[in-house]
Amino acid sequence: MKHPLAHQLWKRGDVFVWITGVTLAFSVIMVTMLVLCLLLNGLETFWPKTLYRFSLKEDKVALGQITGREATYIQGKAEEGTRYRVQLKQANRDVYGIDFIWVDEDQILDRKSPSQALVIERREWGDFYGFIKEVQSGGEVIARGHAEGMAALDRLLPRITGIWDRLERIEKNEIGAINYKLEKNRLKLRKLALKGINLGEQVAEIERKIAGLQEEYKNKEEGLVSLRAQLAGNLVMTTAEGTEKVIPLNQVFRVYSPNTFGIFSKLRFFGGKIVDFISQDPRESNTEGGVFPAIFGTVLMVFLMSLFATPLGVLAGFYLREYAAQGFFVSMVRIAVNNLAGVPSIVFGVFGVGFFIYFIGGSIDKMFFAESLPAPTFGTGGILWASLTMALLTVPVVIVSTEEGLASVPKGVREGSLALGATKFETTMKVVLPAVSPSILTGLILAMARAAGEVAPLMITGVVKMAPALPIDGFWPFIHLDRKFMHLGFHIFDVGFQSPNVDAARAMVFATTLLLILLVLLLNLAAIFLRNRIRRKLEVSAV
Amino acid sequence: MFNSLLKLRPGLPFSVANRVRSTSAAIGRRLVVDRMAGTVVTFGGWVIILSILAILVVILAEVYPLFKDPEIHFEYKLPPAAQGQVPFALGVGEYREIAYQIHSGGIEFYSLQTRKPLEPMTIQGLGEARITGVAQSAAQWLVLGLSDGRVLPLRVEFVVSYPEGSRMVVPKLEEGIPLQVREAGQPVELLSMVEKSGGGYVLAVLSAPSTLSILDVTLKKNLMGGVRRSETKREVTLPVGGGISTLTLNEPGDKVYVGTTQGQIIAVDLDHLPEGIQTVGASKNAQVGVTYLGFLNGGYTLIMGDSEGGVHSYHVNKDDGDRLVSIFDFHPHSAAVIAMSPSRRDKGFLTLGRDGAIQYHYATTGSSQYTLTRPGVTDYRAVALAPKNDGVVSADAEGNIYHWTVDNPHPSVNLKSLFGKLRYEGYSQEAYVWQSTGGTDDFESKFSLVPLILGTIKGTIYALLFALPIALLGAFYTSQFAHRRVREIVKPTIELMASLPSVILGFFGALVIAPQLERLLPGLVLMPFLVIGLVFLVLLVYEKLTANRMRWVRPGFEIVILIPIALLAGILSFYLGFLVESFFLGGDYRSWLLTVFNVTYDQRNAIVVGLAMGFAVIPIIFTIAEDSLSNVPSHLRAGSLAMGATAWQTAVRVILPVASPGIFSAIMIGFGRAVGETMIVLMATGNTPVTDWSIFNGFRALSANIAVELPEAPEGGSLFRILFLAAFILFVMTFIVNTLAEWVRLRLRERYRVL
Repeated sequence: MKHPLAHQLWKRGDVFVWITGVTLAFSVIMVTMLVLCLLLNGLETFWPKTLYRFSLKEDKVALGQITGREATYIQGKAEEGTRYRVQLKQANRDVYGIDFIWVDEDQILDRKSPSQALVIERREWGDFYGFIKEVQSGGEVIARGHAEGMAALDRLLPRITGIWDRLERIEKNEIGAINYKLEKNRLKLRKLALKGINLGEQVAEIERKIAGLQEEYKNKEEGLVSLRAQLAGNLVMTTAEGTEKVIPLNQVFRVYSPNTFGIFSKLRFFGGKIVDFISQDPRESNTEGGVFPAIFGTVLMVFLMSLFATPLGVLAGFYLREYAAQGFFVSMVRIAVNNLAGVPSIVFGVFGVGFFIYFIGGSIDKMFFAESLPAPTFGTGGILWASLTMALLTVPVVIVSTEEGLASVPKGVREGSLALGATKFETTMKVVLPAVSPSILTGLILAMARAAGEVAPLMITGVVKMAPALPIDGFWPFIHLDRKFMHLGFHIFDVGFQSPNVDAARAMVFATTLLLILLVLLLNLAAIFLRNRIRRKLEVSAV
Repeated sequence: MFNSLLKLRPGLPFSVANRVRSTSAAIGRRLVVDRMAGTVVTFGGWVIILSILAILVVILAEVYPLFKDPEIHFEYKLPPAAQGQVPFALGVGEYREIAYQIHSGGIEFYSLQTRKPLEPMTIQGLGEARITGVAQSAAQWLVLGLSDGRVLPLRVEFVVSYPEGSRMVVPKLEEGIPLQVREAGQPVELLSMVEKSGGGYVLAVLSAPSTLSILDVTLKKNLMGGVRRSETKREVTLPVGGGISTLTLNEPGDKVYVGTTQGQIIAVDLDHLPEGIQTVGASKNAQVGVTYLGFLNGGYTLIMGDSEGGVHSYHVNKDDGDRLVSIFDFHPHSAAVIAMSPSRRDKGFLTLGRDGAIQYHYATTGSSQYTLTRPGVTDYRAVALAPKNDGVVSADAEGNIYHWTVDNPHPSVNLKSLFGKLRYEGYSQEAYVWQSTGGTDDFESKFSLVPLILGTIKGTIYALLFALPIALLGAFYTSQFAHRRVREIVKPTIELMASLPSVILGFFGALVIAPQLERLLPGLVLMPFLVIGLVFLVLLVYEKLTANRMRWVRPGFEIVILIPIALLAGILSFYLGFLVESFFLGGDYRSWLLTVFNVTYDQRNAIVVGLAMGFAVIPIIFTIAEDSLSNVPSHLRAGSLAMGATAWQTAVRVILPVASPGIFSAIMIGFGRAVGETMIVLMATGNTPVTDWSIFNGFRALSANIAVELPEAPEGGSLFRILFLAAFILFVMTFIVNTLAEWVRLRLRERYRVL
């Protein structure tokens, strides 16, 4: 170190201070970039993107939305300057086979954004991008070209969507109810058969019921057929190259022309898409549509988890601080509880599988659900077991924060209450508990945030990619704790990693990620806010 | 009044007595409630304590059967139905309902459940002849060698039906066409048979002291539904010294392995005669003869028994002229080995010795797991392992049948197969392999946990390599140099990072970091150097500019200028990375890596995991380290500063030594978290269970392995229990680390109190 200033900086250590500071700067940058990246990508999913019509070399054309751009290298030729290519979502999976393509930028002659270009969201096969040729209804062409066609669609679509929704309702609710009752009655028959009753009044009664239900089922089916007949009507579209494609109107979910959107219609569309995303069922093997069942499953699982974890955690916290004699044993337990918080989540999952599912669930099945064996009822993964596993995983959080809360309640308060003649229980309930309840709540919220984001133990205790029915529905006993459920975190894993069309799934994954991150961050912020309020209150009361 | 009340209710809080108006009944109720509440709370506390124990107990209970010794129970001895016959072979049905014995006079069936002989069945093709030898193929056919020089193929089938809902098994015999292989009057004693995959079979028979007759019967179905049968017969004379004592065909039926009384193993390549005859193995010396040769299930491992009772296994080395490679010497018998019965589902087999012992060995692990003997019985002639490995049947010279039940559900698993290197079939050397499922029926599951444990350690190390410097230095800065207001913003931000669900980090790692990293890796490597250089430079310029003047960056707010510097350095280093790549690494660092270091680059590799896991680990280490650093009693710091030390000198020489146990505990807890992390390693690696340390390749961790395989593992099977063992290992690893960290932290708290 010849340079005197440098030497001085080295000696004083300022350089090192700055270097340590830079690592902190890095952490902050990392978090910010992560959150920004997820936020932008997630929100972008809902934003209507311009449809470009590209004229390419060799007389090719392409219609699509730009979804990415990257540099391409030709080996050993980097010095000639980097070239870029863009990723297009050209949709029309049933026409082209693939819905995402890469186009080299030097292939592109020009690009336009034709106002007549339409995005058609379909119930199957993903989006369709193209232009309206004609609209058919009842075997006749009722509208030609863009303007007429749009008007006709505006007229026809609401009615068809209405019928479609009714059909779905009938299929899901009414026929679903019949199927459910049929299954119940069949199980009753088996139960009787297991008891050795194969004949008699009871059996005949059930068989009569089954016959009645089957009759009802047939009637409903006929009703469906007549309703389906009203769904006629076709939309004839042309792609950018001019290929015609007939799309049945009942397959059309939504039609819009992004290129005509002003900023307000874009915003409205954006809002509408977000609402759809939150409130609708997934389509196209989870890569499109909404995530309502996953939200529902996550929330219900977290709720059940809280139901188990809170009382247990609070009791344990009170036991450790207020009731147990402090000593070696209690400090051992405290270490064990802290340890429990550090046990990998997958280990809890494994415990859940071994204990809840196979041991307890298996026993329940043998005792109460023998009629449906060998198909397991509780002897397989389900929301109850997942919640219990999760409760065990999160209970240390509740215990620790309860204990912290109890530790900060001054001893004098308790002694005062006891001195006035209250029993220990009364002191606990009326004096201590109100004082620690914010801490308990903080712990609970943190536990909920942990449970909402944890996936690994759920993967083996009852989460599925597509649950046929929600765990709560209109059939007795309304809450079906044995059912498998969907979960936002698992949804991310499944759609992002198990789906065959990764590009198409990407948008969905980002959107789900954003939702989950918002949920978790919101819960955490609530906990931090609450904790700060408690601290402030304690500071005041200490004075 | 007071006195009487106190006398009435001893143990009552004194203050209660003040409430004269309350009746004793009300007080009683309150006390009962109080006591009940105490019980409930204590119960709640104990539930937690018990559930911690339960986790350990449940997991261990599932693991325990893996290591349990086999349970063997001798059932009974059945007398023979016909006297004076010599038994040759035994067979057992799928559920051990029926067994059969082939002896010199024919075949006999027994019900193992009712312990009675079944209705006798006659073998039509036998005629006047007696049975003199039997060969069993891997499938249902067997071949009888007869005293009149003929051989007779025979199929024993167990037909299962459910009349009136209960299971019934009836034996059925199907006879093939007998063939004359030796001259009439010359008994066929030594023979071997395999079925060909297209139909038909190959038969090898010892027809003269050193001559083999090879019969090849091909059955071809023609379009009309008829079967065309063609047979070829060849004779091979072997140049052997001593007699031929045993022979066996390999599974495709193109080679015969012959053992001699002088201890040679000779392979006869039937497709390359006459030159394809060579000695491929030998017993330890010429005095020890080969007494038994036979292939195990899958047809790859050859088992040799010798006249001294030794049991050895060999693999056929296809690369080295089919020479036999010696694999294991099993626990020997004390007299010659005379028979073997391989398992049909794994690599286990029974050997039978002249010493009257039946031993069970497992070929992959080289272990001999149990020995069956009956007092006074030394002349067993035949032995059979039940198809589900759950029983053993043997027959002595008089035809008495002995029946054992065996409970040995996980024969392939022991410490050696879980943690040791094994030479599996088809492998040219010993290896650690995890491969739980395979495409074919005779696939052997390979359950070495070593690649998974190494994977876990690899992921953890690379994650910590990235996370430790950032987290610890960041915590050091935050606690020692940052202004209070900076700390109030930075700390919660980083703590919030801890709450990010790992599935999101995994997703981010795999779909955002991985593709970017593939582009930006050279820049990333340059980044630390560039950042430090730039910081130094900026500091130098800054000092020069602000010498003896007002500083525009207040101490503690350096971060304000450092964030832009870090961003700038980041962008610069990526740009520089591209330059370096195109000028020094030939335009593509991946092909450069491949040519210079011979490393391949996976897109989802350990760096991606390290970076993604960094997000999960940094906040934890940061928080704990920061806490222990800023909790150092302030008078130490004040004292040091007062003595004239600079802030940096104080921090490094005073604060750091005091807080170092806290930092250790932070590292430990970060380690524990990284070890158990599941979703990130599951999503951001390729999940291939390999044992290599290359930072550019993926791996499979214990945790991810559990998540992937447990849903598909049948309950109670070996895989299921091994996954529980994996969970147990994870539990223990994190438990030790966390307890250590907790203990250190408690000690530290004590130390601060004293200071």
